Amino acid sequence: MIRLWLLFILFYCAFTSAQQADNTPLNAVFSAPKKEQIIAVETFSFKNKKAQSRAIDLARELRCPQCLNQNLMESNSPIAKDLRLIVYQMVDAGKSNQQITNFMTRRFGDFVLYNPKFESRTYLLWLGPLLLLLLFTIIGIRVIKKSIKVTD
Amino acid sequence: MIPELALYLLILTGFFSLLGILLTLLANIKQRPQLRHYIWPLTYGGAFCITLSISLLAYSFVINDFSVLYIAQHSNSQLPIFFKIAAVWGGHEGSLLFWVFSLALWAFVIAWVNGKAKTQFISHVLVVMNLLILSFVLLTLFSSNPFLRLLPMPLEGRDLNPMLQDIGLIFHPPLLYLGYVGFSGVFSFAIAALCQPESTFPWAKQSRVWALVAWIFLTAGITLGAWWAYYELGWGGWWFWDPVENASLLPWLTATALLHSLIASEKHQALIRWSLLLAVFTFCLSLLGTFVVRSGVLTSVHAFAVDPRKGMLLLLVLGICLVVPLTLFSNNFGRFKVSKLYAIKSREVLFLISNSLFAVTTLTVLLGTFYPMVFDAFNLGKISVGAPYFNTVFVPLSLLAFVLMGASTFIGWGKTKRLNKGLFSAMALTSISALFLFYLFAEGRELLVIVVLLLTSWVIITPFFNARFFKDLFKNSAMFIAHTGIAICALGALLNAHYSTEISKKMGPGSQVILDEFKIEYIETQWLLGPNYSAEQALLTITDHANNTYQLTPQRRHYPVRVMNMSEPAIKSFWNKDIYITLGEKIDATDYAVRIQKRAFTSSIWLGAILMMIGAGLALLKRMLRVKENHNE
Amino acid sequence: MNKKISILLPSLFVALFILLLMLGLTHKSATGQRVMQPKALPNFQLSELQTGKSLTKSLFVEPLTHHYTLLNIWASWCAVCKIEHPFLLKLAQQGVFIVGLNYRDDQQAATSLLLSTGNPYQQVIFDPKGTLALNLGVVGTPESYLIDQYGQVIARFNGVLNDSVWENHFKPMMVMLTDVEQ
Repeated sequence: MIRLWLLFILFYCAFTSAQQADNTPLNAVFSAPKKEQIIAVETFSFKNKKAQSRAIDLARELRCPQCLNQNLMESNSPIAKDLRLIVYQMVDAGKSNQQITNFMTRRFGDFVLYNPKFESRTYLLWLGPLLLLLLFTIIGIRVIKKSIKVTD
Repeated sequence: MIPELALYLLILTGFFSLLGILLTLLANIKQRPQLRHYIWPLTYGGAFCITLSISLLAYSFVINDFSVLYIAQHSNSQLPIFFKIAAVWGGHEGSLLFWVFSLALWAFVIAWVNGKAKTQFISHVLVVMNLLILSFVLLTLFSSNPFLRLLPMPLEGRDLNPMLQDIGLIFHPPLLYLGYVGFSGVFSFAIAALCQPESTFPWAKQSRVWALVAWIFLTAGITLGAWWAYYELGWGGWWFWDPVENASLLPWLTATALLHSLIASEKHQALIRWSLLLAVFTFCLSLLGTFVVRSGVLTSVHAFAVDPRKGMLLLLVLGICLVVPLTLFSNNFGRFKVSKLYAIKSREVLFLISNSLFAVTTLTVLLGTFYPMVFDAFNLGKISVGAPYFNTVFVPLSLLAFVLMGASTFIGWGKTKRLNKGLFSAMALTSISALFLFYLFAEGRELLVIVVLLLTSWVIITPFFNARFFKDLFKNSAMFIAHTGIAICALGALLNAHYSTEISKKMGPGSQVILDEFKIEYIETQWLLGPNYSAEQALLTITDHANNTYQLTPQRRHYPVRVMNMSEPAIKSFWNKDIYITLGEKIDATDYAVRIQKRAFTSSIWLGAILMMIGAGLALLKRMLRVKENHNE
Repeated sequence: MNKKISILLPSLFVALFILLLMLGLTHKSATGQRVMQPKALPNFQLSELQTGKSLTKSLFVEPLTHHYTLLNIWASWCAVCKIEHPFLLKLAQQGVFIVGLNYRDDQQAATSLLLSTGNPYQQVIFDPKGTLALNLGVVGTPESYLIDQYGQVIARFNGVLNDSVWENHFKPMMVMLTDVEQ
């Protein structure tokens, strides 16, 4: 019984520390990715510089589906490395950004897009700033008009 | 015994605050003004107690008292003493105690400065401050007591999170908290003013001083955070539009607006309502930031341990801090003097526009930050809003702000006519200098780069077209330096995003790569033993055009207590670029995956931030000198 | 009257904002589930963990004995999966048809783990490179998918499967399935 408790405590400690250390959510713990994979992604050589900068920019716009809030470039989690490698490979193979983001959203949902799509449920998000600008302009004009009348 | 004493002192702080509040209320109800004076010594007493309390916690850290749960969780006997002290605010409980400490400190300073004439107005300010202190003492006591004992006492602590074992993170949180909490002063002044709209107390004048001090702290805190993220996280980025970063940006935006608005309110009785509301919102957004970090309501890399209960309590405080002043505001709306506007083309209107612009920007960042949360809460699915969105909406708004900054030179207060004749020569000079800069820096023909170069020149050049620039050098240079700072910061950020390059290579002793004009050679791998970690260190040299050679030593550290690996990048800074090297995965017996980045113009981001702070510092200095003159007269 | 409204207006806005934050704060409990449209299982060709026999999508499409399959993603290195294991054994005893997807694992380690702790799976798809998992959109282990007899994924859960998740998240879908059949 005591041994069981000890095991539990040990496990609990390991678990909580792992939680603080990496950005793994509560319910998922990961193995280190296969070494070849890390090496493949960390030493990936692109056909040309243009492909490299496009791949990196795109990987920055995609969210690691498992982490708290990191993009594919920043995260060290295995799945992020996997997906980054896929982005690299697809870009190097000449796939368009649209094709690659489609590939990702088909599997992981719109959650992985840091650049949310412009659609009915994000109208408020994208048009919000414009509406606010309009609102403040109208209020401003009214205030100024009123105030100038007062002084006259 | 010591932790209990510290806890007792914390309770005493709350008690002093409560007593001060009650006595002042009594003074107002019973019309006995002399009772009002007690809140001064009680505020001093509270500040003294909490200072002692937090020092005792630090002392317990130093003597490795692991019977205190908080210390067992955040320290270790092998931890260098420097970090032990920093660990006081390294976790949730301790940082909340630090909040109380900084609140009491601000209350103390405000009481001290206004200690000669114990006016009713200031006593109201102190009541609000003490109410805040009291609520945070209660919050600390009931939801996150840092003095809880852990029995049986463990022999060793779990160590401070290695991420936090860094000079940048030692000073980042306290500066940020001092900034956040600093706006409690401005907030209290605003509430006191809202309670007594007819009061003749120059609240705008004093608010501006506190706002300037708090703003400098907040800016320093944010900059340090960005700098830390840059050199510690190993990605080469410095701003990620993470919810927690946004949470600190929100009060910064309203505070910056407040600083401007207060100028108009203080000297020209304009935009008084704006100033009051901005003061209230700035502090409430600081509270919101604290809430976001501690409640886990938004998923972020930087959040503390998730605990919804603490979140609820903080939310309660936030709710009260919003409802009370806003109700007062709408109740007394008509009793504030309406600012006079003499012309459409006046500095007042310009400030009104700039206030609106700041408000729109703040609300936009708020919208983007909380949109996914609201979306999820209504079960509409999970979406992410990140850097691409914020860059898209933030950039045009800041460009507009830059236009205004330069234009302010040509528009005077009220009816005063400013010369228009300089306008065209200013524009011409701006264009010429932008072209010159473009020729110097630009590697492509991006439109945005051209626009930002134009606006940067515009902001820096226009102040000199003010005929009185050198006559009133002190005043104008504060504004000039701060504006130049933000322009340089923005330019640096843009060039950094556009002209950074990188290369990832398998490297081992003897191998070399070329990145643009640099030749990078891997010399050897070394093994090191730190106080509480072991490390592999690569020694690399970089050689530039002129055959100057520099040594860089990126590391991979292993912290055994927390079983954590950290990568420590190495950076060589030049004025217009940083070479940033990260040591990646070990590939075989001798070789590592090495990532080498050329981060363009990173230094100008830090330079810009420092200039902004210097500008604010000059404004503060000028104010203090003038106060001294007035005293001497 | 008008004045009273204007006094209450800001409080109303604040209350709304705070309410939203509270909603966000308490909503966290639903993490792990993802609202989803039924989605076809991707095609694959992998081998069985123990027998080495080739497995394809037909594993899910053909069964005549049951209306649904529970696809459980696990690995021997995954500590949390071990918490889930007894529950899977219980489900298997109740007659739930469970197929395992062994994710990025070592064949030896996975096999010996099943031998020592019991095997709830009818078949285990061995996916050492994580190719099927990637096409499914697996985020992390453990993860469970409910698949109908047409090879459509109709529910998924990311995290430890237990009674309450099973009852609230998977059972209703299964009942719906059987209803349609009858």
